[in-house]
Amino acid sequence: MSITRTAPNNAAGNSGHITDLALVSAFKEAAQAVLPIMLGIVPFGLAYAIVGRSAGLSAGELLLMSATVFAGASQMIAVSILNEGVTAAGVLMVATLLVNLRHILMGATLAPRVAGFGLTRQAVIAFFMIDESFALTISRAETKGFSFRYYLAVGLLFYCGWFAVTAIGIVLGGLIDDPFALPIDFVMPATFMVLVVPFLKTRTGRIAAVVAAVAAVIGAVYFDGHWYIAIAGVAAAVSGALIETYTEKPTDAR
Amino acid sequence: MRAELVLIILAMGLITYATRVGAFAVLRVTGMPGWLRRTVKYVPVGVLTALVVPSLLVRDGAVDLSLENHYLLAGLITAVVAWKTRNVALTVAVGLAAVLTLTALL
Repeated sequence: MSITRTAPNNAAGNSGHITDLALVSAFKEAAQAVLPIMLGIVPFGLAYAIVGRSAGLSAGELLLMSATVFAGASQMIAVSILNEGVTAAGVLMVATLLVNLRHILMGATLAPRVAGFGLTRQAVIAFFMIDESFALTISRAETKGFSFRYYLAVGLLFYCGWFAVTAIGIVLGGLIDDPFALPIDFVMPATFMVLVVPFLKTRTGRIAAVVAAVAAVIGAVYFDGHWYIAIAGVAAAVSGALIETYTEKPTDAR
Repeated sequence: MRAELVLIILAMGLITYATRVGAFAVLRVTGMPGWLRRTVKYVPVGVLTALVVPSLLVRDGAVDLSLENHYLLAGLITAVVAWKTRNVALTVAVGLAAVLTLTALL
């Protein structure tokens, strides 16, 4: 595969319609989609910075972690483990790997959409892969197609937002009692409700969603961390594939 | 910044990036097998559902189906708006209003 400057045809022939937006409209569309979710991320960024400071990490170290790791859950785990001293570095590496394993599932899901892109673009797409950018992009791809520029805009906005919220948390940390006091944590589920709608058009999609809902709740109750997301993803994938294999006539591959 | 911590943070960054780029890297070499393409088709609906349902049903590590759980009732109202309008701003606004109203009333 070669790196081309024009919008490449999808070599895998999977998503079929790759639209590439003008950069300005990509950022406009991305900003509208990112804003409410970013609002929901704010308390997590503040909590990370506040806990990090009380764990004895410097402002520079906290910002460096936001800039290089860019993954809320593992950063939160990191500051609580580092609280006990750097002797726990090995534990931290294993925890980082485990909590981020769900990226592999997201990567495999995005892979057919990005198969036509060159190495550089795939490397960039990987860097900005978080739950939220995956959710926005894959939902847009379902209705309007995959756009590299839209993905890049979404990723950059989340990246800059996350860095800024970290900085704000470091500066204002002492003034904030409980970042989760307002019902801001309702914003994210409300947003993702809208994003999931296009996937519920087919009967198989709806059944997969119900299976995933049960799996996610079980996962959230019985497993620490973000395992419920991967568990629900796998549950939906397996149930959807089984239903398609055994009950449905082959439909147009999407 | 302490050198030891900088190294730890950079190592975390590398590990995290490896999980993000891993599937792309492997599939670039192997190609995307048909069975995998069919299987991952329903991952998005699973991930998106997971980002919605537990945050409404699970409170403090347990399933809460009582009326005390304002997020559940507000979530049902919000889901109707999401389904009918597909408008994020409107859905979020109605959802937040529902949570605040329920918290004030109940």
